[in-house]
Amino acid sequence: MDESTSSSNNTVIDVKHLCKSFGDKQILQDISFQITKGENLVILGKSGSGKSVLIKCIIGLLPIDSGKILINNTVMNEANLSQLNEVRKAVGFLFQSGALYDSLSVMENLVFPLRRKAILKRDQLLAAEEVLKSVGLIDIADKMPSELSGGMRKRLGLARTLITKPQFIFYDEPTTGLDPITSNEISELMNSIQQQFKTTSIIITHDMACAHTTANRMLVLDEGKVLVEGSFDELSQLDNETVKAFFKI
Amino acid sequence: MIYTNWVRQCYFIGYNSLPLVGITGFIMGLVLTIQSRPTLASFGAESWLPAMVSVSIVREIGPVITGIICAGKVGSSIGAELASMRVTEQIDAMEVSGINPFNYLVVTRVLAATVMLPLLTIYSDCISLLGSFFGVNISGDVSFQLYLSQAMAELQFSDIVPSLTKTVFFGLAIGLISCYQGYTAAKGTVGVGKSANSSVVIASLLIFIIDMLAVQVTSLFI
Ligand SMILES: Nc1ncnc2c1ncn2[C@@H]1O[C@H](COP(=O)(O)OP(=O)(O)OP(=O)(O)O)[C@@H](O)[C@H]1O
Ligand SMILES: [Mg+2]
Repeated sequence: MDESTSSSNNTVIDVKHLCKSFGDKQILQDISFQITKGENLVILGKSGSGKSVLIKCIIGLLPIDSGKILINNTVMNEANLSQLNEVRKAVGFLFQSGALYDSLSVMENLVFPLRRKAILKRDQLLAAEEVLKSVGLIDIADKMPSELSGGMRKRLGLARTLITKPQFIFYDEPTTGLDPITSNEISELMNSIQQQFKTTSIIITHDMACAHTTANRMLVLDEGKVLVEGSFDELSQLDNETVKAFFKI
Repeated sequence: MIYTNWVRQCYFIGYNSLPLVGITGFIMGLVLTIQSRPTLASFGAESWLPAMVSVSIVREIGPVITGIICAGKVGSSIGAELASMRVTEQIDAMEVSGINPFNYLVVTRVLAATVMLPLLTIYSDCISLLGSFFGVNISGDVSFQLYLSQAMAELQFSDIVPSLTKTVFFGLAIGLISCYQGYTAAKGTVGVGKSANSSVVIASLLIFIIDMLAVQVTSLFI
């Protein structure tokens, strides 16, 4: 790409002065940041600091109080359902809880997001097998989600997020509850997806190893505000109590 | 996709309710017959027994009992299922994958309940009549053919159509109420319990109210 292109042309996700509260409780105050195409942004923050709420606001699952959210130049907080769906087609969302469909088998869970696309059954199954293998799950296609372990559920949720080959991926704690080996594999997988498909991602995590592997840029949320923003190395040098606490191992 | 899910819901709501609806229907028919016999006998009108029982079953008892049973069985399961899907973010997940959860979850269930309730009622009516046949035969000896002709003698088209029409509304009420309660459930497992509970309570109450209105409306025309 031409160097002279202004950086704002590369901005694919733009959050401006986002405020969100539940009742009297202010969760997010005046959050602003941008993500450029092909970037992995890692969000750190204490439990309850509003990270999950933030990405749900971005994708339009939660209404916001004020501010503006743009994905690919669509104003998410003013979009109608068909515009939202148009954007969501390009988005993969890994819920913190996995949000697996209990009443559907593993295979049905995986191909569910493909239903809206005109894809042959055979190709759906191939795609499902491929993502299952990439997250290290085999021979579970016929099981029900309730028969899986916590880590397996997490990985299945990840597989379901990846199956549509989305342009944007929002990961809510992708490696929580996984052993360090699997955790590393998942981080590597996230990186290779970014490189292969030029995806843009927001990654929420407490896992500093995962952050180290995946982050192009990091952002620390504290008490509903953006505390600092910078690369992994920059943040690790910072002299701030909260930030230090994350980097202390 | 919506169609296959509708068929699946019809199976859950309709087919899975058959045993319960059948057993209660049979018992209602049997009990009603046994209890009505002495009264009719004291008027010397025992031969009216099948006709009286069949009219009360088809007009009132069949539809209302089926409605109440389904409000309990179907209403609670829809309410709890949708509520737990809401609470565990499964509905949100559908939304972000671009599938309209309202069409996929709510429309299919409401339509399935609306279609299945009349069918279940017909089934329940038939089993009740069978129960009544047994009741008649406890202290009598009536062939099935004779019983049927006696039971059908007083039944008219104007008994059957309004009573089945109101079951369509019973189904609609059960579907709408339980889907609404589930879909808008509050967070947490407490929300699931509450949704299931209020689905049953409100749907059962509505069934009696619809039944009362139906009687009023029917009496205008007949
Ligand atoms: N639906 C809701 N209604 C009311 N309050 C909510 C709701 N969802 C979240 N909150 C509140 O918002 C705050 C932020 O929640 P959030 O889930 O974003 O935390 P988080 O940063 O993701 O934490 P964790 O790391 O534990 O996942 C919490 O205090 C929570 O109580
Ligand atoms: Mg969270």
